[in-house]
Amino acid sequence: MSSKKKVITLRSSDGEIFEVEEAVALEWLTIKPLVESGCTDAIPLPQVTGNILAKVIEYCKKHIGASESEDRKILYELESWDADFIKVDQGTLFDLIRAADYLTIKTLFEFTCQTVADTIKHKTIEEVRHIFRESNDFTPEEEKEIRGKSWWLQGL
Amino acid sequence: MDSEDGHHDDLRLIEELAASFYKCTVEEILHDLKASSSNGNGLVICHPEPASSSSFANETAQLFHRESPHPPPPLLPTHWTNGPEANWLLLPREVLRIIFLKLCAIEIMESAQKVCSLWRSVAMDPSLWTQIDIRNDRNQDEWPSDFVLICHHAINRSRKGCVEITIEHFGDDYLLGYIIIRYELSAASMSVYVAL
Repeated sequence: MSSKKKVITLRSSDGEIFEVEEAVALEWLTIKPLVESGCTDAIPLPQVTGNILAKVIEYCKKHIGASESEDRKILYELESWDADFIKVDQGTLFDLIRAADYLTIKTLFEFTCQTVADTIKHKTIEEVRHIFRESNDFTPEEEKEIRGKSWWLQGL
Repeated sequence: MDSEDGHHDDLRLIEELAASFYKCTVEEILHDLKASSSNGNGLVICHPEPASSSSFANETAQLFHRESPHPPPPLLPTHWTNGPEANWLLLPREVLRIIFLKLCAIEIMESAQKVCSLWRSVAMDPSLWTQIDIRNDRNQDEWPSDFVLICHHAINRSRKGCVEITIEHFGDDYLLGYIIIRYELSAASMSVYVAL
């Protein structure tokens, strides 16, 4: 058995080439069948830019094997590494979610979605609208109802 | 008979007083009470002196305006805005649903679903309500909401798909009865955890 680990080549939307261990690529369910089929060409990922793909690979390399660890110290370190990893601007967070969704990487997808959920928590409606640039598209009547308690009594 | 009539008079007096209290200041009410109690009708009113009543009012006001022991966290971490803005409107509905799954029932009902009509329609998805967990954390008064009503609507939104309900520190017989009825109607088994 060869000691050299099998490497998979990936190509980002902007033409950057990345190499990852097969074990990492197998966690990405979207390309898993390609990897398993023994594809040796660079796998094109037209929906992921190079800088985001680099972040995704960084996350997955760190997490491979470590997430299942039962060693509390390792898990604690991973948690603090994650906290630093996700200190990114909203554009990067958004792109990471889209990439994790597109590549079907469960751990990264769950983690990035959790980060957005944490951002929504403990905020007023106006603050959430401001953060996510969601415009208030309710009619004045609906808006009035929102202020009242009976808002969610309707539309059941 | 005399004592009954007297009782009746007291009740009438109390009703009249109650009607006159509407939109009065504490001082005005105390003044009225003093006047009526000095009419010799036998109703004894205990009340604090006006001076102490106003200090009581001040204390009450302070209670409601006291500083929260935990200052609110900053709106956003600085790194959030250190780059290009994201177009969150392009977030697929399914991703939004997964994000909502990570919010608690009260956060969805009281905040998220009131943001815009898209978020509201996602909040109606029955899959968000298969596990309903509503806990009245009595240390927190940031949700002045009616937990019983929220629980009712969460159960309704689950469209009989609810498999687990946890309620803590709120609820009444009517709500528990409603949960039991839903449980009997539901085809699947349902776990209910209640701590009142």
